[in-house]
Amino acid sequence: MTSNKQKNNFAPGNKPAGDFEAIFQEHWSKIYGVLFSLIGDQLEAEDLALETFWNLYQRPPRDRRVISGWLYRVATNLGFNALRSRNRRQRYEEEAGRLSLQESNTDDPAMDVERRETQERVRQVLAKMKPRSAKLLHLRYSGLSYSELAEALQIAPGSVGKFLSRAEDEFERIYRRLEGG
Amino acid sequence: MHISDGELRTYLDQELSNSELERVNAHLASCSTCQERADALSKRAGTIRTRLASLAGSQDIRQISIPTARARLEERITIKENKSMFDKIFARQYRLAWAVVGLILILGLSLAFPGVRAIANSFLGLFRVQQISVVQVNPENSPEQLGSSSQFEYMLSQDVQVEENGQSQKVEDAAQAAQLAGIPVRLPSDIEGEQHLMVQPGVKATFKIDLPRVKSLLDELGQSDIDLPSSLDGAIATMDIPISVSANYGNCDSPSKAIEEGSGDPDSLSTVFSDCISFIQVGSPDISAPPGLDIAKIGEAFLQVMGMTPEEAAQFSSTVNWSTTLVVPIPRYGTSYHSVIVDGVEGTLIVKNVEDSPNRYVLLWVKDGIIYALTGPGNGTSALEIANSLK
Repeated sequence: MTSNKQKNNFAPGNKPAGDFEAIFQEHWSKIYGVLFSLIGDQLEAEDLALETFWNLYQRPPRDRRVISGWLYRVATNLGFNALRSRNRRQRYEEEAGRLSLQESNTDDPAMDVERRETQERVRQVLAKMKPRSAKLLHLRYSGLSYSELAEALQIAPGSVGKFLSRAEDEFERIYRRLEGG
Repeated sequence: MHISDGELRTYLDQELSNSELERVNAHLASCSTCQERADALSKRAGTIRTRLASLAGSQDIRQISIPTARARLEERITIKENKSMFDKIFARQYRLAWAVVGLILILGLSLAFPGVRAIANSFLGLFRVQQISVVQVNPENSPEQLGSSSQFEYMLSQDVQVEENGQSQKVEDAAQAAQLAGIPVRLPSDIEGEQHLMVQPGVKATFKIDLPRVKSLLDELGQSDIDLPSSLDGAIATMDIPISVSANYGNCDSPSKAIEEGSGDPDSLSTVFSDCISFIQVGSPDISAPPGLDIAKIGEAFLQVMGMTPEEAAQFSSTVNWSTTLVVPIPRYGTSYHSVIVDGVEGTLIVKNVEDSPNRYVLLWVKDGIIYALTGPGNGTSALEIANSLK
């Protein structure tokens, strides 16, 4: 009854270290990219990506074939949690009258105003959407295939189109409402 | 029949199978309605693509190199491991202690610790539970020693059999639970949160005593002075744990599940359970052991396995009636306990109390032959109210 065996993690003595290294090399950039586009802040995205891989190190999925989907799932869960809590914080600050206008989290001052507004609105919409729809949309437009989406979000491959269509519906509805308001 | 939005959307992404593609193409050629819908979906997708693309023009993505990222991850692993050293040691103790509570009360948790369960199964001796006695132990002394014991692993795999009679079953109300469990099921009326009632199957553990192996295991554990009669060799000890009923209130999902499903904050996993209140009731386990066992001695061995020194075990053992007392070991550090009057009888309130992690309590008592356990967040101030509202 060694607890290490049951934990199935990458800690020393459990798995060949090369296993984890290869996974890290292969997936780091994609995971970071997905988080950066969602969060728009380099340091925060890096922090969340590190957190994702730390989770992998501590509690990897039993089935090593699903690592990619697992990483996307954990990363988007962390990313959307961060996005939603940021939104709550901003709303609170706005209500408290301390923040009149949305400050962008981007660290590029040269980015034009219109694009920044769109970015911020898209993030607001994603934060307001049903979590699964938002994740689906974000991952789809980050370039994941239907089968990758099915694996990452644990939905049937045959249902991806249906959920995607509904997610786009929801996105547009909320986007227009925010645009109008 | 028209094509669904989902299928059209899949079509636009060129993700249809060949046969589906043929069918959809054929339909679109003859159905202007669907063709228009496909155009509208395509246009909408285009708009959304542009909007989402604003998030991440690839030129925006500045990132550290992979080796740098890997080095930072290493740093994080080290920091987290150091920072949480105390937490981790405690967490291990904590899990072990709950596992012990769990094994005796069939919390299901015990499955993760078959070793601990087997020990209790085999060493508790013949008894009917009339009371519960809590004892503080230092589990740091025990599990690693057990984990590295080949005798122990071998004994578990060869000599101990655990059968569950059936599966967990969700039930609607106390009456249904009582019918399945065969005990009068009582539920608190003074409690918030949606109620989830489960009937857990009974468990029968059979331990065939292989005397030389038990002796060498006891030697390893420093218990060579236990006198086991040679007639024990090949004898069979059994423990029947009856069907139990658990009622959960609030969010009681397991943390790893919560993280993957996105409902948990991975920085503080304990918050996942923060509002989970659990109430378990089960009849006394029925244990039969061959004659000739010195139950008190075996109880002492059990306590040593749980992390007591031989002197402490002997001292505690002399104060307890092993044939009527369910002994629940709890970690010495980070927990406290005291006696309370609950449900008209004397019970024990155990509180887990460590820095950086919300307190949790377990309230244990025995009444009319039924063992009750109530666990929830906080110091247990509300536990007595909940327990006293049982109907």
